[in-house]
Amino acid sequence: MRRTHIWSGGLLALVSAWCLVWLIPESTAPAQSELDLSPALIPSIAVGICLVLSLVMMVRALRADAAEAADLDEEFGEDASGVDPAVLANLLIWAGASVATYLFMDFVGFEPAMSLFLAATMLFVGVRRYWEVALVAIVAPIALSQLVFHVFTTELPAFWR
Amino acid sequence: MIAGFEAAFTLTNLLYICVGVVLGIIFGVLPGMGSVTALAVLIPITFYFSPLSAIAFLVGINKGGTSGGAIPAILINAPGTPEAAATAMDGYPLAREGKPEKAMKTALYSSVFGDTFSDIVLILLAAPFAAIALRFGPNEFTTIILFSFTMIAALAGRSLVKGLIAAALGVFLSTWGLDPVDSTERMTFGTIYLYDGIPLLPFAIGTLALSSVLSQLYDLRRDRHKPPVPLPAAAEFRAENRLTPAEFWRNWKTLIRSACIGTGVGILPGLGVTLAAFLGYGAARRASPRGEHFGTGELEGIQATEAANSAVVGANLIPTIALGIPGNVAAALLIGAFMIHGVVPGPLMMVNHAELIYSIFASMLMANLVHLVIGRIGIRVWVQFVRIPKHIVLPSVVLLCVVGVYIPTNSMFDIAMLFVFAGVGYLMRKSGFSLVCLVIGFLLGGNFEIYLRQTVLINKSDLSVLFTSPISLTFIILTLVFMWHFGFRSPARKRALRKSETGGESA
Repeated sequence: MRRTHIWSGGLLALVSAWCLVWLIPESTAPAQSELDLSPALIPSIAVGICLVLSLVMMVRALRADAAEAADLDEEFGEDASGVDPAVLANLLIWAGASVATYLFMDFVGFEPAMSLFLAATMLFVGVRRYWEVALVAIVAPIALSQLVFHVFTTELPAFWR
Repeated sequence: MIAGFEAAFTLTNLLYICVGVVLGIIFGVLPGMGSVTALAVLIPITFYFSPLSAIAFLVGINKGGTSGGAIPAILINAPGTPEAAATAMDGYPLAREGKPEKAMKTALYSSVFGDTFSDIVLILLAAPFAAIALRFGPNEFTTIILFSFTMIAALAGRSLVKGLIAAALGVFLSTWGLDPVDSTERMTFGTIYLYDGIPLLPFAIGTLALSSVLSQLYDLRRDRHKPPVPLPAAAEFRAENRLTPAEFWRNWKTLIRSACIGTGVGILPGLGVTLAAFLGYGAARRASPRGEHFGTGELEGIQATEAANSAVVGANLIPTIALGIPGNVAAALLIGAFMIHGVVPGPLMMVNHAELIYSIFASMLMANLVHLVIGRIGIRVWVQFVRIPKHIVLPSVVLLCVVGVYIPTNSMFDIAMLFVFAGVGYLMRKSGFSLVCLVIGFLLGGNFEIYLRQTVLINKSDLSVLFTSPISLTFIILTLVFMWHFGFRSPARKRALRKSETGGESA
């Protein structure tokens, strides 16, 4: 976790500095009334706090002895295992899967996109009973789509609707 | 009141309440839905009901929907509604210990307690409390929200620094979109989809629910060659999941405190159920001698959250009925339902429709009883979900999350936001940044800015008004006291404790 604190502190500090120096000034207009606060004030304060605290976190992690490093730990228990290459690979897989699902859903439709997503996810987590995969992947999106249409009168995205 | 019970206690009315509670719980269980969607979808079918049955049905939905979100939060750590996120913090660890039924019973009973408490406050004190609520303006709301920020310290887990970073990030994200006062663009990156800011539902469901599902899916893959953990025998399971009255009432102070917090938040328009849930949880964590154990499966944590968020439901009707001012979206929808049935909420409602109002009050109390019975039966059903293999449940929850965020707006952009924030949430979860603080920062940030700027504009940049209003001054003093406590006193005590521990070890 100590390494995670060092690199996440550094990354957050860099992103915060970029927001303070470029993003917020470029993306906000001055206040319309001289009595009003600047629209950039609250975002700048928030990002400023983020910048200072991420530096504090990084410095504490760099200087930490074992006891202080333990104090930096958090609330998720064993789920917060720190960011390692495996976690980054998982994140990359999620990014790829979500982009593919999103595009497929937008251009083709909800049912085929989610069928593929469900099948891929079940295979990914190790299910090898193919009838089970097929059953869930086909029935769940179709049933849900029909339910949503009849209960909420909402049509989920699909090119044929 | 007795006449109200006479009118309300009919088989038809009871049936409508039952159906309302059941539908509310089902909507609450589905990620992204909740009582607001349920009310919006089901109001049209009340056109053909009598006014009393219609309102009773909708009140049942509201009550069921608020508590239903706790079920997936406890069973799979995927809160159905944002307010159930704090329930997951202690409910899910308890479920992992093999006590999901115990956690759900605690959540249900606390929810009914909070509901009943706020209903009684509504019945007895609607008019005077509504008058007090009218004294709250932007100055007072600014200081209340400022005070609420100190709650982050109680929710931040062991690392205050990381909690504050997450909260600051949440505040920053809440400022994206059109400026609330000038309507100029802010961090919209030239897309009109961001004009309304980052949508709350995909943000909350993505970070809190979907990120947890993702994490569990990866764990499932990692452990795919391990033999499955056998379920305990029925008798053992029943014994472990028994909740005795003594266990439940041991934390009566927490229940009352949370119910008061929920009622207070409910009376004030615009603060919302989620804030009440986190304020209740944070206050309990501060006050409890077992505060350090919160997040590891403490019943008190579940009780604090559920009593607070359910207490908002009844209290929200105080400004609604007495003044015609809706406290939140659900109350606004209820006002619409009142008007559809020829009842105009406001000061004259108590005079013109006294019998109907007291019948509604009676229906609310009956709905609590129905909620208790149906919820208790429902627990037996919901707990069976634990027996469904995770490799079927978890991918299906992703499906429900996608549908849940799509239905309210019919926007693909919301689905994209859901996926993005699921990834962000997963990364934050793994690196130990508090997601709850992120969501709290997001919820409070937008409101804080609006009220602060309204205060500045109304008072012509003179902020001394914050110190002259007694209500504002009280909250400023409370904020300073809590900042001193959490910023200086607690860390100093922790350091002293650690020193003595290490000293003891070396000796």
